[in-house]
Amino acid sequence: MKLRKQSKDILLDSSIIIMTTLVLIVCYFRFIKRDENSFECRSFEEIKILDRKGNEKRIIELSNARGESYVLFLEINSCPSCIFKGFNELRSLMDEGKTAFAVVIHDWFEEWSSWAASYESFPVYLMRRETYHNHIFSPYMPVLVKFNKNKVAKYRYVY
Amino acid sequence: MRYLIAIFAELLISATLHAGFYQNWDSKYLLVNRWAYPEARLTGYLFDAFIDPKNNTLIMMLFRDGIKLISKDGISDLAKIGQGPGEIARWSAISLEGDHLIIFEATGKIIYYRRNISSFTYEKTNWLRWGTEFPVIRGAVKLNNKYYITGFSLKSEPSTTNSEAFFLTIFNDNGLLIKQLIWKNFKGFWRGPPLLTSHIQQHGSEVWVILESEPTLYIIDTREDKVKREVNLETPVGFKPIGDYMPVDKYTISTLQKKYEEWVLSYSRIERFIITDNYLILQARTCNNSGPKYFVMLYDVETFALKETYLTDHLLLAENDGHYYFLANGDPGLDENACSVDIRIYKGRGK
Repeated sequence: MKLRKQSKDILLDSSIIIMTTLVLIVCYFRFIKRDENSFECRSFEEIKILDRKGNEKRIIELSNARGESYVLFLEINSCPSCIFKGFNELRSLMDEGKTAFAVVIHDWFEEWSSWAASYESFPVYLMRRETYHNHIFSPYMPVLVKFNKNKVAKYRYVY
Repeated sequence: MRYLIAIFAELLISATLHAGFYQNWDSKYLLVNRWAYPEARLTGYLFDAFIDPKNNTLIMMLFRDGIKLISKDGISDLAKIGQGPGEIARWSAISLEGDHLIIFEATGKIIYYRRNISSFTYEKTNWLRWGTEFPVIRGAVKLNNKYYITGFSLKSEPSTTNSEAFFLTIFNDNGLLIKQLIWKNFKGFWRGPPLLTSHIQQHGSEVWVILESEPTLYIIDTREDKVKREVNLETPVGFKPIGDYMPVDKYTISTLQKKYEEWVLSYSRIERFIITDNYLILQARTCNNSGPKYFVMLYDVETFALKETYLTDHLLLAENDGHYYFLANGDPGLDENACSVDIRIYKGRGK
């Protein structure tokens, strides 16, 4: 009888240890360790971008606060075929009536403005590199990000 | 049996090259000058090179190093690497038009530098307003206020057995697409177009184009923007045409990078194409591991008959006023011992 109780205790203790270890592992990977391949966006509501005329806007003025928004983040120097693919995806989303726009990370307004003339039919905005570093982490671009109520819901690198 | 024939052919080619079938470049041309800067290192494939005749400066664009200006007085870099005005990133091609040095980026950015007393200074930027018909830029020439750009532009999404591409795309001065020419269909060779380099040169009012994979000259009429003539150029004995061999089983970036060099060194790839007053000159690999690396083939510029063939280990960069400029030991991207700036200048003996 005593022996059976002892073995029950051991089993219980072992289960507690295993469960605690599992919880710790999950917490570490979910909340502590940063996945180097993941896209991150901090303080979305504070991000400022420029439109084609050079007017500063907060990104939340363009996004859908109550639903989905799609943002294509890219650089002018991203691979050309990836940029085209990204814009084609943006076009499909726009055709479906979704809130979708592109944000180009660049520091020179004139340069960006001339480049953006090739994409006149798209809503394209400029984000300064400093803003990008303060708010966004992306190991690769272009990246198409789905925001739900201004929070990152999904993302996909376009290549 | 097939292996025996292959070995026999290899031996025959090797014997031909060793038996003095073709002369060495040095035996006909005299080394008259040398610009050697051993402290300056070169890395990456050569994209293009030419001489600026006004100040006798060699301008070279390399995959990793950007643009180098080399003369008897020294070596310098042109354009900082970056995304700002006058800065370069993803540089792809370079061209000289009057007093302008024009740099073409893969992004469609065209950067104009203007010649000053000793070098070039940034002047302006243009953009190609391409739609979905964008080319991957391998070479470019500006003529009659139009940009002629070589490099593949896929006609349709490639499948595993087929791909179609144009190799010449023409834009107007505002960067708008005018026309695409030189269409090729690669059956069973779908990875071909992205890997192929194509060469372009201006000749009078014409533009001449050659793909690295085949010795065919495409003469473009620039008034009507059409292929006026295709000339199949004769090749020397030992010239190894491209076959179906492609050592990449799966199309991924990593396999391509690993196997690319193996592939481009497996056939007589045309690495240089220049035009002089008398000759159209092609330089192609011999694919002979124990002999000289290159054929230098001189064709009559009027009749396109193969006049002379030489062998050399050096990479022909440019010709100016009867002087031929070579980079010692080959292409820095493909030949391990071609890593320092050693420009060898030759002139015809007795000229």
